[in-house]
Amino acid sequence: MDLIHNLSIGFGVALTPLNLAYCFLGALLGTLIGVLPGIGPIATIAMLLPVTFTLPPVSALIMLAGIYYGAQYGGSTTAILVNIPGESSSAVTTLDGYAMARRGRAGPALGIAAIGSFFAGCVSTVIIALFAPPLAEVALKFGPAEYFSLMVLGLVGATVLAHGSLIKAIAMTLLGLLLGLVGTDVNSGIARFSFGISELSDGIGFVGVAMGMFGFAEVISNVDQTETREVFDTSIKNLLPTWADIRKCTWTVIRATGLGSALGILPGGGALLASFAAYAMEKKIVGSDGEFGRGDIRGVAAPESANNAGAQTSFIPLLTLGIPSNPVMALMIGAMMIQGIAPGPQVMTERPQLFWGMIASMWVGNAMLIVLNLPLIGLWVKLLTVKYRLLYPAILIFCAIGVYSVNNANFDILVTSLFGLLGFICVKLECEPAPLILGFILGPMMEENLRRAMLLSRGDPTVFATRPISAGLLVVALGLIGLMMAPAFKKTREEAFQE
Amino acid sequence: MQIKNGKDFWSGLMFMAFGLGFSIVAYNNYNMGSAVRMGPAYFPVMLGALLTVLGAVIFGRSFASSIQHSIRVFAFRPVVFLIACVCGALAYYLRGHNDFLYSLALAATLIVGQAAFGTRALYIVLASVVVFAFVLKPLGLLLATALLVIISRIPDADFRWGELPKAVIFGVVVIAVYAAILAGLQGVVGVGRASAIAMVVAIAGAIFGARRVPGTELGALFAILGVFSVAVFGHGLGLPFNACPDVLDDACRKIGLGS
Repeated sequence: MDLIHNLSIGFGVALTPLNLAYCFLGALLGTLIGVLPGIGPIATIAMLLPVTFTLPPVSALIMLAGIYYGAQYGGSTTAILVNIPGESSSAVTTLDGYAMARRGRAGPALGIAAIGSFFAGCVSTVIIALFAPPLAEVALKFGPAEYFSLMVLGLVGATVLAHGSLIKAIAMTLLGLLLGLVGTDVNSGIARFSFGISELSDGIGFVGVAMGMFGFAEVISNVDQTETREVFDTSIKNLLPTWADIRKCTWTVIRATGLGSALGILPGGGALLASFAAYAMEKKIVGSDGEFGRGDIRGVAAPESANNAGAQTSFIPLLTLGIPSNPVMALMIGAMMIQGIAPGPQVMTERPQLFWGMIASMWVGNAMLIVLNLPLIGLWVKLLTVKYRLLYPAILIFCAIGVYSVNNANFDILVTSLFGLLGFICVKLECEPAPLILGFILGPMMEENLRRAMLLSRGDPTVFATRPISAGLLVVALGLIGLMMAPAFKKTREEAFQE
Repeated sequence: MQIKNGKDFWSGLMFMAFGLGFSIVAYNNYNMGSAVRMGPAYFPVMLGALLTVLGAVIFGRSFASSIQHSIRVFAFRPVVFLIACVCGALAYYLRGHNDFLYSLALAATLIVGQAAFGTRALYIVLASVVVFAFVLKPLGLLLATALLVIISRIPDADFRWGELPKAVIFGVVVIAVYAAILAGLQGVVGVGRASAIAMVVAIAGAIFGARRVPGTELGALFAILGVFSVAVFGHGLGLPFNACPDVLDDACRKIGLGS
């Protein structure tokens, strides 16, 4: 049994005292930033990147991965108790989670979120272990045409699952791709769209883009609204859900884990899309029996299981193909590069200790998180009683320092403020920022692979359709677009996102 | 013809502007190449053209949309935008001639430009970040943090100008306490540990003080964030920050706050 052998290598690495300590540190830090709205894994990982240089590669990656999935756990606490998402991926949890808290059932909501996340974390760890090796083998056969088609599929997937108008989502993706091209062109060495500004010849930093579009834009709209927040901290007594709750949620958690894992594997997927899709699917399946939006426990279990599953399986495209599916994964690539590791299918064969150690650490980390979250819930609640007017200057400072620390350049902070403006405008115009970020990350890679594919085929564009894997990927992408155009599906999608 | 959906109208315009801009700049300045050997302009021109087409569709849709949105989606101020353009031109002219004036003009361009769109919360929050970026190196992390916190709090409903002097004095006292403990202990336990101890004492003191003395909350906030940043990011993570203003560097180095 290869799998058992591989996992035993992995646990051998993950269970060393040093790596256990870093795993714990990552999970703890992840929960902390997950609970705090506005400070997410992107800012945190960006700040920690320079420090990881001094750590052994496995420990560094174990810690950074822990921050990402730890944040998924922490985000639900804020969503349930305060009605604002601690992480963007727990935005849908607010609907039923907060409604449950208002009915005095905050405890079971927190409990089911943690249990669902734990179950999803365990299953998706096994899924990574099962699916990553065959995928890496397939990936070795990938040429530039396949890479290009795969990225097209990822971008299409991200637009289909984005809110609002489809055509605006596609336009946002294109804008992201274009912004990603700013900087030196690798083939000709020409600095494109830099307008003589030397800082732009390295391109726009994606940390700044992500933090401006998400972090700053969110702070601005929160300050604008000056809403009052109410924290439920008195009513949390019984954290364990009743048997009836658990019976009700069993299939929900299993379905959501499956969907979340599948969406995480897709480049462009990850925790955010998984949570929205799982909530919409659950609402559809349960139908009129449920009381979604009014405190149905399944409305908490579904997105919380799915986002954790999606967060973990999004490591699959990173580890097997070297394609980042969201900004956090793009930062993980940065962390691997600092250690001198080129992400791609060869990681698994050349560095089995790193690969399997990281996977095993995810299971260990999930076990730590469930222990960390349930008994320490009082501490996190205390943290949430901090007023927003004290919190948002802190968010701004940490974002600014995080952006600055990537290149030690104040230019990047200015870029972030401009993207804060763009993010604000996009929110006002109902243009979803998520597809823009993905396009931004994938832009240079897509161009590179398109060029290579066309060079190899001597300018024949049919190469994308004649190579079987590439053709298959494009057919799926086209199918998704076709599905979107279909009137019946269009209606369902509009209903599903009407929250 | 009547504009029905203002959100589509503006987003269509925005996408067309970006699409045309990228295509035209790429087409005029870089080599297109051929499909076999794509030049640096090939991919951007293709994407830009596609974006322009999509933008035009969205723009056209705004006249026939069944969804009604006002044309005033956000408060765009053309006059303010023009002033920003003038500042931008000035910055372009000063580039390479006078660094200080150039920075000033660039900061003005960004702040005024952002003020042309939307609400007070938008431009004041973004202005605080722009100011932070420009003063971080010359004035150091502590002062930059204080400026960001104070400016970003202006649009908040609980902000009172009258409380500001008291808050600033309180914040300065907290930071002075931190610096004094750091200076005293660094010879005994080393800079890292001294900074951690000083941070804990200063933060605890700031929280204790701010609860008892009304009107000092803002000062406590910037002092806590400044001290935390210096201790954790500077001393702890080793990120290269100046804690103090450049002109005071020698004095600061003696108490363990040097760059």
